[in-house]
Amino acid sequence: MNSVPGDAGTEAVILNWVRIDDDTVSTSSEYYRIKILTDEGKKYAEVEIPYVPGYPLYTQITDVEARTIRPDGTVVAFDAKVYDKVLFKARRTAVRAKAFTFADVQPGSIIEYRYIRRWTEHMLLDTHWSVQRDIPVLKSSFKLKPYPTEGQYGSFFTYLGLPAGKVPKLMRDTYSLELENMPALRAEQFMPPENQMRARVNFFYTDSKITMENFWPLQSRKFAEQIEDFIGRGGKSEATRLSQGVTDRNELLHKLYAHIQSLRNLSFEEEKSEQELKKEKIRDARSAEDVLKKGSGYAIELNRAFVALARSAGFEADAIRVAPRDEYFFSDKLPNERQMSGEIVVVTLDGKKVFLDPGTPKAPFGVVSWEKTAVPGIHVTKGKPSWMSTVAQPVAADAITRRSADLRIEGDNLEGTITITFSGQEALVRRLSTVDSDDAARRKAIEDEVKEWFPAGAALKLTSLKGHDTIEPSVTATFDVTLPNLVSSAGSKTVVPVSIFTTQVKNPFASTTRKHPIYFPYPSSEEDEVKLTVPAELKIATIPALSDLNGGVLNYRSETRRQEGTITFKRSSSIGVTMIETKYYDAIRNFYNAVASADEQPLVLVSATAGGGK
Amino acid sequence: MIRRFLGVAVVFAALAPATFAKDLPPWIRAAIPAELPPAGEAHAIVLLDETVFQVSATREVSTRHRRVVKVLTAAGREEAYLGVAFDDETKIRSLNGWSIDPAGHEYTFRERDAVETTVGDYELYTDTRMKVLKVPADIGSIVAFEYVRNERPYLMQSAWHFQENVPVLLARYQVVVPPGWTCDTRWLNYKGVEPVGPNTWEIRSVPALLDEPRRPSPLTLAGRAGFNFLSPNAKALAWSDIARWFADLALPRGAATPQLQAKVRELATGDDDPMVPLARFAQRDVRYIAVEIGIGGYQPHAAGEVFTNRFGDCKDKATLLRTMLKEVGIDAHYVLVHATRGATDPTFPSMHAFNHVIVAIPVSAEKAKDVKAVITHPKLGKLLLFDPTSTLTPFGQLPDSLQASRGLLVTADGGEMIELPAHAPEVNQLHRVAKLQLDAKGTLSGTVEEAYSGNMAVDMRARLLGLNAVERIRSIESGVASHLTISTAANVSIEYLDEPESDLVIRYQLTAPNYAKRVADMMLVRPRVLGQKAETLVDPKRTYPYVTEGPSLHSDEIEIRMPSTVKLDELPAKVEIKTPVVQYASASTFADGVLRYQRRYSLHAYTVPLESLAELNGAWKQILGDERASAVFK
Repeated sequence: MNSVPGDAGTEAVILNWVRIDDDTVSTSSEYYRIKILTDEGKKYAEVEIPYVPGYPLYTQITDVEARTIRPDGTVVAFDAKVYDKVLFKARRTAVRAKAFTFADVQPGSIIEYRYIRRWTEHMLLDTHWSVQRDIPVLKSSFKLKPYPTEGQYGSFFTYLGLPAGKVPKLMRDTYSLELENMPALRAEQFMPPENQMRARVNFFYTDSKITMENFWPLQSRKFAEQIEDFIGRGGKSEATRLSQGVTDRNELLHKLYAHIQSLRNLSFEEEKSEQELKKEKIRDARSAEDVLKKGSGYAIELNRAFVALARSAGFEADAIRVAPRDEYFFSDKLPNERQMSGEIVVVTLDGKKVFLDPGTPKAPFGVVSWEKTAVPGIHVTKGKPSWMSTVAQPVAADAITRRSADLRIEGDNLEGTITITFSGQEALVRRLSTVDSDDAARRKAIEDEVKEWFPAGAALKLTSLKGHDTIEPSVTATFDVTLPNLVSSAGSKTVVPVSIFTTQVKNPFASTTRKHPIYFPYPSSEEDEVKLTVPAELKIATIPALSDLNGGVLNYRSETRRQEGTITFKRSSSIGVTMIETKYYDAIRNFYNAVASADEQPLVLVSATAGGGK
Repeated sequence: MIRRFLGVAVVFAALAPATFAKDLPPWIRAAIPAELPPAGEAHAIVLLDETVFQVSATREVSTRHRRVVKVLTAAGREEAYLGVAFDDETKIRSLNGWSIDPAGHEYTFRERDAVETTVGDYELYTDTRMKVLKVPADIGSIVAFEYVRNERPYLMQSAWHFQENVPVLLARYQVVVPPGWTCDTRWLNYKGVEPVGPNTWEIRSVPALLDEPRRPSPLTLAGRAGFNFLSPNAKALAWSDIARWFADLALPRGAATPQLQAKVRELATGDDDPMVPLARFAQRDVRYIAVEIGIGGYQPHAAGEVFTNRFGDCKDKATLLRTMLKEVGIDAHYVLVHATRGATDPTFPSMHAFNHVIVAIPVSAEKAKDVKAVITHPKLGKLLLFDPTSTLTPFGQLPDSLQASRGLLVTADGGEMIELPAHAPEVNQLHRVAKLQLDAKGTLSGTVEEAYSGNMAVDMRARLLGLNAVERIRSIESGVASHLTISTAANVSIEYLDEPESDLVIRYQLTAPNYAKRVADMMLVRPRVLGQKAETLVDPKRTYPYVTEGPSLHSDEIEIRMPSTVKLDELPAKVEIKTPVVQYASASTFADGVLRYQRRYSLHAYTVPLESLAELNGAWKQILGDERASAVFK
């Protein structure tokens, strides 16, 4: 075998992978038989097996055996040099690794190795089989002999991405799963989170009272008790103080929100040492009242403090426990409460539900950080908690990038000012990227981002940056710019791109093929306006034509107007969804090509003394 | 790779727990000035960086290092970490850290609060580890560290790195040697200062190295000092001493085994020069795997062991190749080099000047004509420099990072510094030929062939070999899309990908809808189609020379058959540029319905001095204009 059907060029292939987990004796053994197909594939001959040697598992890696089978079938025995590396060692914990490599590995070689992982008996661990690897797996076999719980524990299997009809089957006291031809997971731009796309099997031990049917109802009640207990009846005095002199309900709610946002958010600060925690008197808050008194809290604590404050001020306000979607998508078949790790707030204002995210620093009023939008949630009320299938569904108007330019042609350069305004989600994303930073870092981050939009040699001077370190709806940056390498010649004519903010945009869907769905973190839109003043010695020969592309969830429109000595170009585009199925890839690619074509339409100028044009 | 210097480093690690605070040592308070000097845009300022290097008569060394830093910006928080390397022969006697936050809270941390981790990422195993201590740091904090480390160095030398990426208010280095010993001092990238006391040097207000894009490596810019510690009547180490020291370690490792000899006989059969198959074997059939324990950071494994395992690091591969060549009567030599161009300063002979090993192979004058990486040695004649670690570099050439640099040739009678050659631009080529046609709708289509040689091929192979077949095609599609936003590259073929001795050839069928821009009655066509040669324009006010991508030659031959319905209105003007660094010539012509664009671009320097930057910018600006220019048809 020199290549794998469907994955030509892969550097190596796992011919056989056997994993046997036996929780009755606290061992897990693995066996790999890997064929090296290219020079690049030789890296699979370097093996590192991490383990935690100390409390509480006292893990050991034992019975390491390995050998190389040369392309001619002869065998190179393993010299048994297994190194024990310190990966990480601190006062209370350590992670080490057994490391070894194989002799005489060439393309065509097969390497085989096995080992046993042992840990303290009677320590029950969940089992995770990440059955899809970065190289293809032709054959794999997994077995799990669970600890005989005898009614003391429950257990669950969950699966994702397994081939049709394949599930772990129980034979006597052991679950087993046999797979063939599992393809490698290859990353693509704008794909859903890699963790979500990788086929896997998880086995959990749980409380004996838990069943798949009652897990989430029970967990919902548990969340509700914890959250409502924390919220309690606190916040009254603070709400009273903040309400003084405020008669407008909308204004009051904004004021309460701003107050919570002004408190110290410990979740977004660098982790603190015990000494710092003690000196700064930082400890987990016991209640919302505690948070408000201390003036600081972790994200979830601040969220709940806001609910307490809002309720005290007479608003109908509740916490919603949500499942963030930045790493995984929620599965109700997975009885793991850690899926629902986020919290937001819903408040009724003037009869309308408003979703707020007071636990995310610098989130504008009404903006929920994208990973907590369009996800399932548990609406926690004083009464019975209820499930919401989709929380805070975002739309393109929630994340707007507005770019305007006022430029003139100076020789080969475009010179003038540009103003960039990031609103809503776009503002929050920029703020969070520098949340634990300072003004210098914030300015540099914006400068670096905007500089990327222009060709090499662009000179940008940030003259103003507003709203970055606030909870205002927008971040606005203004630059003085000199942009070389945009104006070009066509014989005696001068050619100028008018969509100046997109000249460096590369089509993310240049490839003709696509494996995974297209995933945008959040819907968004762009609105550009470019005013260009033409020097007296030139006159406008032609302007770009109107383009209006309506692609359903993707939209684009651009229009150029001419006035005396100036042109004004307006461009708007939007992405209205987060996920697009792979089958629509060609349509998406064609749309992006059409947008690029429209954006490339130039303005043509000729000498003012030449005939024609106006 | 040769073992790195056991130094200190700023690294990131998990947070350490802390002990209770205690009073700050007085040297920290003494280092804090009443008023800080202006620090410009610096993220931090080092108030004190002090090393006391004590040598005992038994050649044991104790290093005490103290450091006090004021954090000025959020980015300056990286000063909150200090990493101290150690190994089985080097002991950390103490390690402490302190912090004073802007509110005046004081914190004290001890060695037990540090995190230990293995150093390096290229070794399968090394006994070198690092203890990383982290102290609290916010903007305005003052952080301080002190450690004492004992070791028995292989060579009685040390280095003082007093210039950093942040300004240093006071750098002090003190050497304590036994009675009768002396200290030999060399200054690198700095004019030097007189001692302020017995073997004590101080430098105040050391400016920060500026973070300029494409600056030369800090190793070639930062001021530092090197020291030789000399027992009575001893002399400072010369390069020949360094070479001899290495030779004593390495040469005994060159014994051939029967299996190795059999392999040499197998490879060396036939009429061809045996040098090539043996070099290829060491380069391509022996995996790069580093296992460095103790002196193993400098001493190669035995050639027979490397042969049997088919793995080893650079010095192991060099040892194996030397041994194999010796079996066919060729006496090759080790050459110690640094993988960063210019990092080896000839004024301070030291093992720390190197981190890599290659070989010098004697060749005949006739053979020397066929290869590029050749030097002429007054005694040894023509020597071909060959890097068995660089699997993608063709036989006869040197990897880009080693060209125009220095190396230590290790010979039977010692050794000497040699200059490593630079290859001419013609060695590193990209030649692109496109035969295209434009239809009446403005769609451009046709075939493109790109041939890469030398380092251009090395870079492209490195990019493609890490990908599977589908990803390779996507990578090429993406490369085309960077020049043509709307395009398709179909029927992509990649030839000679696994054969570094041959040019890498990539062919594809290009389709670019809307390539020609219809504007009123005009059709605008950019003759250049693909490829961008000019680099980013350089800030003429920069402080350091500009480092280029290295010498290379690029040539394009583009043909576009135009629709019969259009007539030429205007062509872009010819461009011709001749400077010492850049040469460029392009011309567009139109005849028999075909628009032809030919250009030749060559870059002739690794580094452009400040005085030539204006000329370089002028050249690139002209090239950028040429690349954007369009022909006009009606």
